[in-house]
Amino acid sequence: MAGESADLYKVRNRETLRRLDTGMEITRATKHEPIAFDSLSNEELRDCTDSRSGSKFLAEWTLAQLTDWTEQQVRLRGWRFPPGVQAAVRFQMPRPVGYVKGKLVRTITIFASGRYVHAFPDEDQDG
Amino acid sequence: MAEPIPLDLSGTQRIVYPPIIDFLAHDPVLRAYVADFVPDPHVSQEQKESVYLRDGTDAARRIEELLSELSSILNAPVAVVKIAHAGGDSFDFYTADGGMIELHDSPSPQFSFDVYAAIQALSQEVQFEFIRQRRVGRVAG
Repeated sequence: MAGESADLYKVRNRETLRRLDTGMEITRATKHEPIAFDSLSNEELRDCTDSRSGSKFLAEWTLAQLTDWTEQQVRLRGWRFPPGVQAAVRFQMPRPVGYVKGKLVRTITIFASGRYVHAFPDEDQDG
Repeated sequence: MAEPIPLDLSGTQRIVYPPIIDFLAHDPVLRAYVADFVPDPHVSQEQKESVYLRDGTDAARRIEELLSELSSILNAPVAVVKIAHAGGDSFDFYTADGGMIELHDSPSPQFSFDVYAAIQALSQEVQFEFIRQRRVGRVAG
């Protein structure tokens, strides 16, 4: 829904983008959202996407797309709250999804902590 | 609405290093603080780790005390009940009445460093509890 897509950007950092009927809540993590990568030097890009600053999604990963995709994965795993989940699940995607420490990566990690779930680009395990 | 708190970074570089609280809030259903954090790389190579600090434990009591201290330093109108890292040296603090205090650039270095000291204490406490639980097998290593 167009209305929902726009409203997602009004949600504050680590507050709920979508509450599922299973009790799980997908939250917004602003530090992983796209930035203007083209204007950065290699060193700046590395600093802006390290563990302090947070890995960053490419612009094509809008909040609406990320929320839909995360919901799909949460439902596939049957995660519910209560009891909630403590898990980090990695997904190797067919195309690059974002930057980690200045490198393009294809991995998204879905991170569940209690009722809350969010996703971020993560290092590729195959190097 | 949120009033950004500025931080003077002149003459300084990075202030916050891992471990860094990524998210901290109390969950009444779990009867625990739910904490995500960016670990010190010597503790874990993962980008984030998660731990529950159960009500009634020493760790949960220390978190409660540190949140109370942080609320006082921030001069928050009501207690800070949730912390979210916004990347780098920026943090969002949520109060019990739904308000939000943002911490980034500030003209008062002393004030900012007091806040960062509290955040670092919280981050260390959470990471230490993660290490303790991992040792006894309550979180995956």
